[in-house]
Amino acid sequence: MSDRQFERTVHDWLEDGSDRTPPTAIDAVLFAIRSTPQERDLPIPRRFIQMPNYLRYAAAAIVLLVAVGGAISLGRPSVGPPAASPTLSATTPAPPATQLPASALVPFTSAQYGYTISLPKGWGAQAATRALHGTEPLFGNDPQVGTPAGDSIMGGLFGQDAAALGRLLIAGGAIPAGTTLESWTADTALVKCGAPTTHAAITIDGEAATLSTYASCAGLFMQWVTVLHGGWAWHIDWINNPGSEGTDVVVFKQLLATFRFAGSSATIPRGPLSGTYTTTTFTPAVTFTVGAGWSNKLELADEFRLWMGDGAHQLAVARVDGDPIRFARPNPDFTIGTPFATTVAGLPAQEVSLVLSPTAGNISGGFALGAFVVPGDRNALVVQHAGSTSRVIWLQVAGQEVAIVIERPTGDTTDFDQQVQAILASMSFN
Amino acid sequence: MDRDLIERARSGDQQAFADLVHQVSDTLYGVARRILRDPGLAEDVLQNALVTIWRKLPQLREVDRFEGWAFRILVTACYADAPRNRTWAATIRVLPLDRPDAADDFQSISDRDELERAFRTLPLDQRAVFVLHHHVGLPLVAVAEALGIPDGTARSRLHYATHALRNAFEAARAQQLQREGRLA
Repeated sequence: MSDRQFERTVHDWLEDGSDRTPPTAIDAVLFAIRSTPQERDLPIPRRFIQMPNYLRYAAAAIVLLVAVGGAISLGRPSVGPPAASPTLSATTPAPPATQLPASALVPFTSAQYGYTISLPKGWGAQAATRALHGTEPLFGNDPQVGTPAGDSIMGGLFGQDAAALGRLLIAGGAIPAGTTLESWTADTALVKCGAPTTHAAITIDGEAATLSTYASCAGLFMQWVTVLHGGWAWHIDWINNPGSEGTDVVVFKQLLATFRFAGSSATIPRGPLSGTYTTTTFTPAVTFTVGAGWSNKLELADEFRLWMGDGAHQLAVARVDGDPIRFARPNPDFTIGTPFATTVAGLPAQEVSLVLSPTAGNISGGFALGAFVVPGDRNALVVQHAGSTSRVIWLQVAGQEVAIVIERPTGDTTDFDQQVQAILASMSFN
Repeated sequence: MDRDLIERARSGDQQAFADLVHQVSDTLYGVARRILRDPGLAEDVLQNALVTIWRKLPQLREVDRFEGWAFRILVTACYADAPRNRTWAATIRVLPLDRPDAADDFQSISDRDELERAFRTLPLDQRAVFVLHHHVGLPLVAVAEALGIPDGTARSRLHYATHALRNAFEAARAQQLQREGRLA
């Protein structure tokens, strides 16, 4: 083995992946700096020179005289009528934060989740169109394809009206049995923001909940409620610019008191609301129609994936370069069918079936049992589960080769294939 | 780096800082992602680092040293957030295009997994030196300056990191030879 081999492998491994900063990260930073003062070096002496007591008293007396004299002088108009009553000075303490009047609140019902909450009038909402997947991040790195998982209810954050209140993010997802409030909190809020500044046990619609408050999470003041209800885990998250914590705490508490879960989480659709979507990042852009129960798991410039249910059923679309199954051919764990001609979006295509043995070895030596590689222009790797059956379709779209990988468990008895056919039939490349 | 932009941002111009962020964020994100091996955590660290850069920018005396100064803030943020690091983040991995055949690609996956595992066992200070030197391309002297450590310390950290990766690479190759021997 040569040094060159080693260096090349290390180089390839090190340069792996995309360095494009997620736009949400930049947005959060640019918002945070709006209220973050810069630290300027001031010529402040490290310690004060010790002063005899009598000099301290004399100095205090001088300061007092100057202050009183100044106040008298400022209060005396030089010409014109007597001055009006004095106004509040800059040093007057702010009044304690109070709740919003009931008349300032309006009820809101989530189209996706069915919960209700009262919100200040005038707040806008970007509605969630699917549920979260387990500990999927509540924000940042969210999949796209136009299907956000969180109801984003906005007062004045992120470039709207700086004087208004912040933003609520509310989302939930089905959780495995055995998930506890502590583990849910640790796996979500604490992963995102670390140890909270304060941590409190509260109740939300009668359910035990945790309120984690962060003086600064990514530069923002954050109050993050985690709560379990009906086999689902929920986030209710308040974000705002630092500086209005007093009001935020009072108003968030007021709004939380109005939160009511839907009757049963079992009736909440997990996937995006059925509808027609167009990829926003993946190119060539694809428009497709999905029914209930599907969700978007990932969208990158060269790959996007849709999941039905928990992800064992998926439809992935990736840009490729050449024979998309050439990496599967030498692997004896794959059973490869005979390619045949088909059409997708009115374009001629080739299709082949792939079955990955249930006993497929751990070919990557790491975390994935069995892997089928789609060599795209960014060389995306589609991990396929051992024991799964796939259809691989590839076609040319405006000179770009595209592969569609449809994976389901072998022996699956759902109507997945029919649903996939409906999605494929609805597809068009823009 | 645009000196004028840095100077305007240093004097409190938020728009200039926004432009600066767009110029440097991908580089900083790339460094954080490689040190931490977790894109989500790297994003958090990047945000914290950029806000810190904004706060402390007036204290930067020499504009020409902005890049190294920014790397130091970023690496410090990596250290600060590392205890919250998740154990494993399965992400999309990349294979090179110019491989001669598929067998090499499977070998490549195996090599990378071994490298990945070995790198994750390294202390963050070794990872930081390795990434700044091999990914960013900074000479060791510049790495030492950026991190505020002596040249010799940077050199020894790089040595230990390289040694660990080489051991992992050799182990992966030995396993592959064993597998090929069994198949033959």
